[in-house]
Amino acid sequence: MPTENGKCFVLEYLPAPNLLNNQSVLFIPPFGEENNNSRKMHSAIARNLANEGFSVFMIDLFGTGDSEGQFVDALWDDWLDNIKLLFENHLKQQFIKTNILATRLGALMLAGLFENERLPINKCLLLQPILKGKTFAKQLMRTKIAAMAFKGEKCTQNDLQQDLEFQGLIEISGYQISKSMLDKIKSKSINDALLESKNIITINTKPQVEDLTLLEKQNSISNNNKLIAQSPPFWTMPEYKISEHLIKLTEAMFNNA
Amino acid sequence: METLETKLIQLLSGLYGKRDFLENVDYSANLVEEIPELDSMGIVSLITALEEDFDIEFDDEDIIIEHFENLGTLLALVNNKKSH
Repeated sequence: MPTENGKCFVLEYLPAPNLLNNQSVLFIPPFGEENNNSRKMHSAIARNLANEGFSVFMIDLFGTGDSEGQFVDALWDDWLDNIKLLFENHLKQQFIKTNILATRLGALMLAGLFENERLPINKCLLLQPILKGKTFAKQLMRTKIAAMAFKGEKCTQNDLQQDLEFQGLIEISGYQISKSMLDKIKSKSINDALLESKNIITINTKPQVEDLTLLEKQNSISNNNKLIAQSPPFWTMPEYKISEHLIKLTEAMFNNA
Repeated sequence: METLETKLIQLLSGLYGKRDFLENVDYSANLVEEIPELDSMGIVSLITALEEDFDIEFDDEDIIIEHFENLGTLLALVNNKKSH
């Protein structure tokens, strides 16, 4: 997909012609290494949705994955523009309904887009959304502290913040993150009103569930827009067992659209 | 009755599988070696889960490998945080 800053790679999972339901699902990815870790789970969800007739599109935002640009040069607003452009291109494609699945920071980006305009989206699933950018930035800093601890070095968030102010960027999990990006993330949050919107459904994960039947009953209560999926925290680890429960839950939510 | 220890084992089993290892664990067995997911991101997600499930808060100074080395050290850390 051509953008002002170069081409963005978009991966498509298309249904067989006889399965087409004329609905699309756009995936908005998480941040950095969380995106890499999520690819296996996202791909399993996308394949299943394609088997259900949905056309699924996964974008690599500017400076990530197979898209052009460097991660360190990525600006928050560029990423929002990428998502908006993907969406606008979609509106030209005659889908009856366009849906979104936004994971982790992807959900925060979607909320950022909604600050300026409400896009005509049919249904949004927010998967383990980051509600407060400040909390996520703290987790990123802690990841750096843990990485340094593995090397036998100690530091605090204050030390890292000072480095960030001085150098203008910080390396975390192999990603060079600019101060501008981190500051933007810190300043963002998802407001309660958005989470209460009737076309927005939040899915949080729980690695272990004692009574899956009870959980499914709770999930199926009408108007319940805060659901739980039995799933490992797939965005934090490269190896995990694919959650069939999450796959079926996303399918059910989009099929009920 | 659910003890802090069983709750911790349940949390680790849920996050990383390895139920057999954790239920029969030698308290000095090295967690970081047994659970490859316990890298820097894994430790942060474990800290986040511990904070939520045990209603505790970690400081930057708590993020040292010695605390996550084995179930005994991790349990001591959680106990310490619970008592403050």
